Amino acid sequence: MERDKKLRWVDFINGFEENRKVTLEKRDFVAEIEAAMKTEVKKEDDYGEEKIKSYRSKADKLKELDALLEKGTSHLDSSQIMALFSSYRSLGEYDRMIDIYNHAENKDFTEAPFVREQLAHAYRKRRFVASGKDSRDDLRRSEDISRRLIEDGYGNGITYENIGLCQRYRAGMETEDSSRRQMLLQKSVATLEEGFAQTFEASLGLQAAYGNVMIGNDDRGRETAKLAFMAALRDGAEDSGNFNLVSTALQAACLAGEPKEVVDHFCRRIEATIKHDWELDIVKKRMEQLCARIPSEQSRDVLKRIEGFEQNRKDGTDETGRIIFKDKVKEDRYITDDPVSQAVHDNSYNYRGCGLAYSGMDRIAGNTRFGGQLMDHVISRKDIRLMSEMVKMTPAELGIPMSDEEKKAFDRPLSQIKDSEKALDLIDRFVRQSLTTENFAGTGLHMEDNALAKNKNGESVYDATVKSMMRASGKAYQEKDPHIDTRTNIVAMLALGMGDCRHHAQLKQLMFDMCQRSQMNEQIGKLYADVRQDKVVDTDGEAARKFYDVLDTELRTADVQVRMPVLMKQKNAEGWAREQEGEWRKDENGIEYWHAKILREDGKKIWNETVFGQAKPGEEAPVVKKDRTYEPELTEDGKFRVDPKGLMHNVEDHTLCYLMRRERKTGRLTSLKTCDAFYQSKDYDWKLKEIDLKAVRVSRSGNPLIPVGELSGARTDTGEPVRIFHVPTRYNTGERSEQVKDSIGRDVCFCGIRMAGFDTVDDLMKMVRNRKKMAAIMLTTLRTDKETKDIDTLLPERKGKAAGNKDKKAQCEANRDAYAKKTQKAGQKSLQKQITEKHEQMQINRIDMKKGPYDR
Amino acid sequence: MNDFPFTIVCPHCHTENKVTARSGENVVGEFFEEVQDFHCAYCGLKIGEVLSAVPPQTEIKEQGG
Ligand SMILES: [Zn+2]
Repeated sequence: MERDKKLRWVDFINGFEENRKVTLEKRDFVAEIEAAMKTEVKKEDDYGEEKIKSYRSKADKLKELDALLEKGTSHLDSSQIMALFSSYRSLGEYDRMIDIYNHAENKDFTEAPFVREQLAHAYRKRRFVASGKDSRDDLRRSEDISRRLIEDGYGNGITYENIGLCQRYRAGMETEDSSRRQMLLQKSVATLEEGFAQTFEASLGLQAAYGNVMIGNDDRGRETAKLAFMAALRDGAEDSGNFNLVSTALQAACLAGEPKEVVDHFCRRIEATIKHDWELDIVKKRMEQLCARIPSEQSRDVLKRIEGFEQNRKDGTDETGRIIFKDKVKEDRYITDDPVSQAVHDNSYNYRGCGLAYSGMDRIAGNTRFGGQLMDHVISRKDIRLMSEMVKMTPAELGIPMSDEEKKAFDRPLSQIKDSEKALDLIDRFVRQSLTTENFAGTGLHMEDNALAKNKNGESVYDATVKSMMRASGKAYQEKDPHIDTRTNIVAMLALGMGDCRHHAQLKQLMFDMCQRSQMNEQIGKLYADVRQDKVVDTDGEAARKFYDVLDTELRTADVQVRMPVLMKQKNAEGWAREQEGEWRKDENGIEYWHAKILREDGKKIWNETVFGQAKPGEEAPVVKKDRTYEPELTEDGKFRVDPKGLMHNVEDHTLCYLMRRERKTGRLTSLKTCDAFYQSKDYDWKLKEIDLKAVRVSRSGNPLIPVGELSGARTDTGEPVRIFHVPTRYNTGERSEQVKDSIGRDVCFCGIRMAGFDTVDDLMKMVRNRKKMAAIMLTTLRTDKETKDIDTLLPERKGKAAGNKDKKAQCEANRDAYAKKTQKAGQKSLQKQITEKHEQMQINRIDMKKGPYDR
Repeated sequence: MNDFPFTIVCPHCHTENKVTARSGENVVGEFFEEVQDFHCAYCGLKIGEVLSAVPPQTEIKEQGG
């Protein structure tokens, strides 16, 4: 095919069967590729147990891949060609990659910047493999491909770096003509500098710095390194789990001569992020080179510490192939002794460094998976591109509802609004309007009620719509097949106007991070202009100060448990869950932690070292009771029952953002606020709520317990208010980007189906502005879906039509009430009513935390 | 131009590989190397990265040698 088939939404919802066919076809192809690339061959032994029989060689793999390629690529779409292309790449077969590209008819594949970047890479690498060829040709071709990408507006760290490297290799070949060699070397450095000036990508900044040192411009190299270091900070290097980013920051800090405590911090981070011996070797070699060329105390220190790591390293690796150190690595995430700052950072994330070129060739996406059965949520380069275009629009252009005064005051691009709380307020309005938070798709459902507004099938109109949309895409709900593609770009959710708290948080985070990124780049740009005129970077000047102001005001998303000391319905939990008994103790740093007593089913109590302990090998996991989230035990008149033991229970899972400000020098938090795009007007007032920093506790395993207000006495059986807490749970170690092998990086998918209408930001905005039409798309799907249950309880406006020609709004309200009555389980009715009269008691009555433990 | 060989066991198929990387192609000198992937000589998958001026070469290490 010459182009991929992209569906318009209206075709999408009429394509239940066709989409199923496409889904299965694509699944089979993915399975074929995976089979070809398999390394381990397993076989059952006589006892029926699976054992690894043998390992397949590269030749075996190539044979099967070649057989697939033999069929040609004309029947394949871009993601399928990409899957083949990437498979050859992961075997280092550059010639085959070039062949595939040159024979591919599919223009969506051949035009994609991500594909062209890899082609340029293949030409650069191939020259070493191909014998009897003038490799200068391949280098020039590689350079050309990158140049054309820049001309087309797709220049990034990878393209500039590739040109710089090609020029450097060509310089290396000029063994006879030293003036030509010198000229090419200088050209190479100039390319890297130009690249950094255009993209402000940290890795490119470091390359430019090294390049300057290489040609003898030591001072300019050092000044450039200062900015590469700032760029790495901008991408979140301070608390990142990404080795490449942390390593870039460490090298830049050494070359720039950053203070000892900063270099020390990145040394600790390197030790914590390093997975393989060869990573250690790379940093070590660079440090040796730095020490030899520009000796400094910092680099010598780092080198010494890296040699120390080598001695501290145990033989062998853990089960994930990661190296193990004898002494446990200190997991400091931040240059601070502030446990709250560190705990909140550890358990949250942002998108400051998402979708960039720092992590090498493989990454194109921050792949965000939410929950086992849900669609794969993806933030690709395409999402980032569209979002960064969006924040260049003014709030009015984005259609954000504003007062006349605001219209006058904020008549500039969203990214230029420097008051962060104001910008966040405007972003909230945009997100809530786009996702129709207060009246989902015009059905009368306020999304803030979604957690409890379930009908007898356990679903709300939102839940049912999500399921119908998934079925329309050809997926069976909760289908567990690793080869089924449910990739969904965040911009597709935005266009459609479908999203729960996670998407609210994700969109808000992304838009705000794009705004901040452009503000920080503006300052780096000013400083870099000085460097290019051989001036010294003024690290205390206005531009630097502005940069750090933005850097130190950070929005972070966390997946939290909302915990209160109220009784919840219970279920049996497998595994090593926690019984709520124990005592508070202090660890060696004076930080309190809950020393839990584990109650086993046989009635035996054992002490467990941490709140989050795991069963020891060979020990039977006890059966314990666990809270049923979203199902509180209520009194007959619908009040929460306060746990007489004062123990904390998990009432619901939630995702929201926090806004944190910190002091640059000490890294200590100066302010922490909830910054929730979702819970604002009903159950909870978390839009912007200052948190009492002194009242935040950190468990020994590093989870913060954040007080966020109270549940009023009117809603509890005792008449006493109870406090509400957030417990952010660790998402992962900070590494959020993931390899996506079968995407060209610029298609927009909804649940694995490629959608049309996302070519430009204007196309996207057309959909975002037309909420009515997109609501109709969703509701039509719900109606045509044969598996939708009880359409009447879900879609009140249908009944409204039959009832006659009432005022629409009143009708909606009436229907909503009827719907609520019908769907509420006994007891929840008065809860819902009471939910609105929250938090009037402002005097915070501190609960003595020593009374009760909490767990995740 | 310096060749520096080292051995590494492939995490995918456990074959012992001898890897040869190279520093400073010709006369350009320090900081010339780029971070390059290297692949297992048996199963073909990436087993690591190294600073080298050319793509590192891998071969299966002879047993007992
Ligand atoms: Zn191998």
